[in-house]
Amino acid sequence: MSSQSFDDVVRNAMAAAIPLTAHVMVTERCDLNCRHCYLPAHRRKDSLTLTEFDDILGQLREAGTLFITLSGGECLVHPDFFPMARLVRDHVLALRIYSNGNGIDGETARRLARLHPMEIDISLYGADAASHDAISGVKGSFDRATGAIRDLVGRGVRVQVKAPLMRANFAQCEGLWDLAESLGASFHASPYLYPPQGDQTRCEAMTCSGVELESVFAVLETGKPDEAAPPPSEAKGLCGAGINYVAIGPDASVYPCPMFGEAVGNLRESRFADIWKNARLLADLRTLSRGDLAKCRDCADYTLCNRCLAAVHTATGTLNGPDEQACRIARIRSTGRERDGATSALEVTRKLM
Amino acid sequence: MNQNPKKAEDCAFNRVAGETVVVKATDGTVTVLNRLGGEIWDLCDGATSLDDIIHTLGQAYDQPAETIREEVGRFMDSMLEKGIITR
Repeated sequence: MSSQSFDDVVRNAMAAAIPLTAHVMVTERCDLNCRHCYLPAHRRKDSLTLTEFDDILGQLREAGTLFITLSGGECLVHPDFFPMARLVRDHVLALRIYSNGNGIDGETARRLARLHPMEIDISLYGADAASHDAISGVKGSFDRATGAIRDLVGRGVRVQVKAPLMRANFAQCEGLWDLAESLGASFHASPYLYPPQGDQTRCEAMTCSGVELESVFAVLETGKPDEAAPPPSEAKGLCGAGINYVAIGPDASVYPCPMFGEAVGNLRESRFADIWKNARLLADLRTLSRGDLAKCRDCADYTLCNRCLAAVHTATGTLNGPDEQACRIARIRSTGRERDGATSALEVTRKLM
Repeated sequence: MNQNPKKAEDCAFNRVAGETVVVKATDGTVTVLNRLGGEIWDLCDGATSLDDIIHTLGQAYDQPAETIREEVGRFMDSMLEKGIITR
């Protein structure tokens, strides 16, 4: 046994720029039609083949990757999803799956459980069928998703319910949390939305207003370890994208994370190690520090802020500008905390733990 | 333990920043192994007997067999308890 903890390993992976986690979007096709989906229509490209995927896993393992997240689109609609997931385990890598749960019936749940996934994350947008289905755009998707969670949990699979919160469902935050708990799943909620199809105006129209955000935080800060409660850290405002985290698209493009619009290379043309070592954007991400964030570095809400580098980069073409949506969320959260008497991010974090 | 030790089916692992990191997928626990632990881990392939593991490490480390046997025994007990090695 080593004297090192996993936190040490993560820190070392950051320091040495080892892609500990790889997020692989095996397809951008999906069986839902969610109104807030961030994938632009033009990114619904072809899907990775099984042979390509096998080769990519080998390259990632060689680079030090331990965790593979299979995502999409909806990864389960890929015709080779199960052989792909099996390959992840054959490469002895930890498997995490992001799904909408729409295609997970009892038999699929059984097959998934046999893969020993570390976790399956299933998105829910409402605590009842009408609310969820109105956002997913597909009738019956709530019943199928909740059925999938029950089946998976019943087979010993760890499930996390993920709830993006927006104007259309912010009032369901507590109900979603209760539902997740009643299904035996953990719960993760975030009021941060990535611009649907890159449309900033649409995004602003869908995100929670100030009053709505206050109501969301009033629920989340009562005891839920989620994105609303980032640990106080000098590193907030930065993240592991392109440092200990990488994303691969369905056309084998490499991104610092799934939200970055700009690919740094393509595995149909170059080896992963070469892209990872030489891409200019990755080098920029690795040298970015709080001091570079001109408008953020002295912000009083810095440690409460979930500033998204990808959103900043997409909106401004730079890495060091502010993320207006994250600013607004942090400001409202901070105001609510001041009113409630909390004095530091640490205090909230303790309450949440 | 007479059976050949092997990695549990629900484990994932890789060398990360010089350490062998093992994840037990079904409960998410992570174990970080030092160099010797990593070498023992690599030899737990279901085909190599415990005696062969001890012999291989004895040659590599030039240590008395008894010392290696004790080290390996402690390692195996700990890994069996964590459920990341099976017999």
